[in-house]
Amino acid sequence: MIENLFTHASTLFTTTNLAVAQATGSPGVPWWVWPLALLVSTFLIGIVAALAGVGGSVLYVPLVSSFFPFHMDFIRGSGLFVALACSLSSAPKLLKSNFASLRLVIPLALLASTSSIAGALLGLSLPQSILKILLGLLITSIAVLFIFSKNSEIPKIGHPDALARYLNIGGAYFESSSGKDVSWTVWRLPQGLILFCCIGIIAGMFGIGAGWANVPVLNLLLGAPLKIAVGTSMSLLAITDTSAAWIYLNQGAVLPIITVPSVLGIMAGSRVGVKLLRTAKPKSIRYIVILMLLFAGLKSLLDGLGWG
Amino acid sequence: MSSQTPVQGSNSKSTILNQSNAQMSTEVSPEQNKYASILLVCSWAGIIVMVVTFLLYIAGLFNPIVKPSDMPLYWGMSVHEYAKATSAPSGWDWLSMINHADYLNLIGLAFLGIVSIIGYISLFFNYLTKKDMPYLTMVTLEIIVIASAASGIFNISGH
Repeated sequence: MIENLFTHASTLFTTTNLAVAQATGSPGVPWWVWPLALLVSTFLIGIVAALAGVGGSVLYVPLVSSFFPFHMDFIRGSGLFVALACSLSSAPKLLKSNFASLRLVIPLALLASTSSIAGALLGLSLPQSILKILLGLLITSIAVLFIFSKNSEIPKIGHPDALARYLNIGGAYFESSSGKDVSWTVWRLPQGLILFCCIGIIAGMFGIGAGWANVPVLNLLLGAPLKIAVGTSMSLLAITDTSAAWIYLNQGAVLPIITVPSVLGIMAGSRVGVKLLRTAKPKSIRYIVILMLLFAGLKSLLDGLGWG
Repeated sequence: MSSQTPVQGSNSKSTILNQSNAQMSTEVSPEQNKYASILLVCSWAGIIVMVVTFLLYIAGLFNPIVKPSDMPLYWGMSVHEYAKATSAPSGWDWLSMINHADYLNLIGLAFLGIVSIIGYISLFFNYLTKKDMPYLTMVTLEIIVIASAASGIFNISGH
């Protein structure tokens, strides 16, 4: 039943976006169609993103820039607020359930948020065509990363490095599936910090949040259990995206008519998605998301090259 | 190589003794709990303000400088072209224009942007009390980073 519902949602999404794409070329379209279409599209993006376990803005930026008539500057500004609002609304629960660790968040967030300022400034200084090409390459690479990356539920790690020991990073959480507490710590923290600098630049530059990169780095490189990686990533975004979001806001690249429907649509959609998650088959949904990313990435690349 | 360890014979409420030097308790630390509560309350407050001001804007109230119906003329422009075309302010200058609905809208969004700082200020006092110098330093630096980004000192001319 969920699969049927998901198929209907995908069809509705495609139909909405086709209508939007047609309306782009029609100057007579009433203004309110756009925010409304944005609300519906982002609601569906929110459902799909939650079901596939990805952040909404990684789908939001490439899809909205492919189908809506807004300039990339405003879409990226909105993308950061979308990621920020989603993170702020889900982080408290994760932090209170110990699925996120502030002792892990704080050092990583410091570097990621600092570098996201550089990314935002870089993104705002590049021409739209170059950004679309880079975004296309990035989104296509993320799709490929999703195909090949295999997260590990509870990774094997070596001895924690000196920095992780000094910062006393680690904790424990209750694993409901096994009924046991799982204690955890991390290793290779210095390498992780370097990667989080790069993640911050990309997040700020493209306004796509960074959950797609945070989780593999936390899980596969630092060795955090998957649940801790997801929870910590979500809590990290609230800080990483804040710095970059301010750069866009101060620059005037946040238009409420684009940002507010997007934030509301994705937040509502992700709540519905989380409820559907109990009965959905994440694997098939993940493949659909990979296809959507590939499509959006290639379209952005072609648009940037002037072949779209 | 060692794997992350399920702790035998403990329940969800138990405190787990350490592996290396790490904190190994399923109990949430008080500072994490307080930080989470601040995020929860402040983010919902920001979202509610955002929704209310947006409804005022699309209803055409509070004399917007760029009416919602005129936005299709501008949203395809780059941010620099948009600023020129609408004489939009940069930095915090919009605060002097919040009597116009389009700028009033930015209050909720800007509030979402300071929620993390509010949370970090509570962490600052917590780590100060605990004399946890590494985390006190990092939290202080983070507040400076976000405050600098928010201050508008980073600026891009046009492209």
